[in-house]
Amino acid sequence: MEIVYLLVPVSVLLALAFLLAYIWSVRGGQLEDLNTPALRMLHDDEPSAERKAVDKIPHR
Amino acid sequence: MTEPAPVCPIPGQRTVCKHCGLALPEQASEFCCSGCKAVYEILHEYGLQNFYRLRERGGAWSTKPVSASHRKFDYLDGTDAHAEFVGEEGGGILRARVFLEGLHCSACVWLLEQLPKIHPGLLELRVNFVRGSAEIVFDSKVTKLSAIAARLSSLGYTPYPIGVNGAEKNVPRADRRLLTQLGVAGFCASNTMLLAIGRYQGLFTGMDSDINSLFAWISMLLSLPVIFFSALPFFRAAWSGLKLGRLHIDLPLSIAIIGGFVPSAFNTIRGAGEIYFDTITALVFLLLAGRWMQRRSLGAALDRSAMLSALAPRTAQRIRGGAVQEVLIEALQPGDIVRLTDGDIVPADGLVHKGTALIDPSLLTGESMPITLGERARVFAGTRSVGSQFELLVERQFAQSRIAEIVNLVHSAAQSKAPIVQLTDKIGAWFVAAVLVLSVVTFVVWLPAGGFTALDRVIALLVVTCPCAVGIATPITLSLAFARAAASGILIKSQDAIDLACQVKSIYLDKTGTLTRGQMHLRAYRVAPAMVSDLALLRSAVQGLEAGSHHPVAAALALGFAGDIEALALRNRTEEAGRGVTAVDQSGTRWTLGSEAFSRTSGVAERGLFSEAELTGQEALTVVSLVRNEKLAAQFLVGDVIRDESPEVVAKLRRMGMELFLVSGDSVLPTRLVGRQLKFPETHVFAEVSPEEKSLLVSRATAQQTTAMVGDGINDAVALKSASLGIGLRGGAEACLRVADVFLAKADLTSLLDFFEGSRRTLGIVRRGLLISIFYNGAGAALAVAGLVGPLVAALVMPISSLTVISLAIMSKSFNVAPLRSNKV
Repeated sequence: MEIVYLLVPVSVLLALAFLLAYIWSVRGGQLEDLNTPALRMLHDDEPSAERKAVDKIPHR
Repeated sequence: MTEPAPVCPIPGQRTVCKHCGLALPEQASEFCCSGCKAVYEILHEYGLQNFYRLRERGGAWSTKPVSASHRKFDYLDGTDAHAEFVGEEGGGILRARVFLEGLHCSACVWLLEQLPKIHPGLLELRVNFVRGSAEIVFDSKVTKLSAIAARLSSLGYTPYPIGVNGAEKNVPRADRRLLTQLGVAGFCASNTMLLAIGRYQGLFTGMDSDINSLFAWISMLLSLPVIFFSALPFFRAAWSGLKLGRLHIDLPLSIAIIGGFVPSAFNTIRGAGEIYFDTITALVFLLLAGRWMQRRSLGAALDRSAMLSALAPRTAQRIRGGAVQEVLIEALQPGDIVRLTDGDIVPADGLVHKGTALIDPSLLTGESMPITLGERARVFAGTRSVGSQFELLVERQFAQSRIAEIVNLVHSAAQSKAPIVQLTDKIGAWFVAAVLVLSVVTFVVWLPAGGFTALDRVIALLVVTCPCAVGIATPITLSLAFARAAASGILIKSQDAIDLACQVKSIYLDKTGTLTRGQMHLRAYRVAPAMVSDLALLRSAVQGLEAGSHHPVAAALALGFAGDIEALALRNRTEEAGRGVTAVDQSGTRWTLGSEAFSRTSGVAERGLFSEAELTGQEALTVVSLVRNEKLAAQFLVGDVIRDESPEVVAKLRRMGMELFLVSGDSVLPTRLVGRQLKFPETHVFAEVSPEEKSLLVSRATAQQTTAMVGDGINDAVALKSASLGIGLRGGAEACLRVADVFLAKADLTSLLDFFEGSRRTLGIVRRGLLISIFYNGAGAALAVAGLVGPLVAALVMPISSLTVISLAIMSKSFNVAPLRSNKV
């Protein structure tokens, strides 16, 4: 059971990383608007120039 | 990229507007209006046609038609405006927030967020769809705020800047702090609980004492951030309550948190005894989650009232050197000339400089009849120009005007208001006393078994009797009630409003705009016997005469008498503001419509069609005469009418045991008339009351009992603040909605009844939750005193009791939700 002495602190540290990520997202204001990002992700970017060129090649 | 097909395509013919998707008027081939055409062209010019595709995919096929806005935004570039609306980011980069009118679907979000690509200097634009606002970051060296505003406006989204330096400025920071505290508490609680589960299992299967103590130490370390960071709001509130000599509800919570932590830490260090880290961290997490919900739902109501006040006009059209300039109201100086058109609110006290003003003073004074003012007559800020165009010579700055005086009174009334004892505070005090007494009893009873054992029992008692229902269920019940109320158009801005609403003994009601519609309506009419056969002609004549007029009486006649009949073709139409209108039709008949005095000047000698007896008691109404070739054709009685729902609402409120008073700034006759119709006793009707007297009346009553004031105008604002509970009604003045504790967004008095009934139901739910938790706590306390509560039982009892009261709170209906409007997304 001695492995617990290593595993518990490691798992707490791992969880701490997630907590820091959460605090970072709160500070950045990501949690202030929970609805608009859901709409925003539906908007495609314009296809890049290369993609357009590839699309123009006729299928064989 | 293909263009979307019209909704109901008829081959070869377009039936809906290419931009907004609404049915086309006849003769139009592509667009319903020039505004839509302009937006369509702009979108194509910049390659933003994707908007139409996205809109279809989002399921919303129609957009509001673009109303051509003629607002000018130059005022946004002045230093006054910058101080108010713009924040510095450094290096000439500025940030501003605006409310946007016309946001309706996800395609709008896309379109607006494309703007930085086509507008040089606009660095970032982020839309908050729910709030209907956008955050703008721009480079002041390249572009100006006015140019961005004009661009938004040209696309059909009218921007309304939001002040950045007001009270709202600190809201995001406080929100973020609470969210961080909540997150930290959640992290620590879940990890502590994980370790606790291991330790509880160890109770049954045996556990290495080294590992046991390691788990205890890690649990303690994980509890430290909760105690020293997450739980701070509770300690602060409890402490500031103590300093004021009051037992705040956070005091028993703080005692439970500290009383659970300190001995547990002590036990951890000495390596014996029981620890409660999992219970107290979970407790803090749940309490914070409850607070967060409550804050969010209150925030939504505050947001909407902030938006309504941002929509109020803050600019005026100043004429200087022949040019018209849009300036902030605060920038007006004595001697400036301001142009006012129909519907404008007068921005400063001054004199009529040119033209005749027709002023509706109801917002400022409560008088229901518009007044006509000639040149050199005095006009007060806060009144509204109706159906007239005139120029105003500013005498006093906005800050020194009558309305600013009233606003200052409001502020001092707010400060002198006595603090109220909240229900939860009362319970908090009771709780603290009970728990402290029980603790002493427990300690004394267990002292013979040893000091540490006695201490352990006391900790168990403190932890298990923690008032979760008050701490968690009450905020959740309240926040759900706030949210449900907001969904049906009742915006509750103050925490105590629901509690207070249940204590209200007397309600002071404003007349104009509150009990009455605040608009002119046709009450009765009589056609001259000789002309009864020509009724249709008379109706169409009235329609023609009133067509171009914005006078409230004109609207009343057009609606109540003419209806949807086609207007008679008229020429030589002349209008005398506030008196009447004259015109000639194609057959040469001369028509006149106006006050009795006006019809007398056009040659009518006959006496009126209504008898003296009929007019007695109706003095509050205006008589309007229609004259056909110097012959009296018809007479109309026009006046403000009582809202359809008022009699029922008033009767029901009385049945709920409340005493109703009518206070109005209007003259005696119309006020008494309304009072009689709504069955107010003579002693309960007050007429010709100035804003200060209104407030005095209300505050005198408030000294003796809980009062509510319901009003819609600036003249009610001070009284709203003097009353225990101020309730503002939609359609009134901005000052009024700022100070109201509760704001009814539907201009419908039934909301008032809904508010009082919903509040009573909500308080019932809160009380039921408290009863259940008293039962739990009583049982828990008995077990703790008997020495049967260990950490395991505490960890089980706490969540079970919390879950019961929370689920009861969520399932109970507080306010009936009648949807205000459906949001198409």
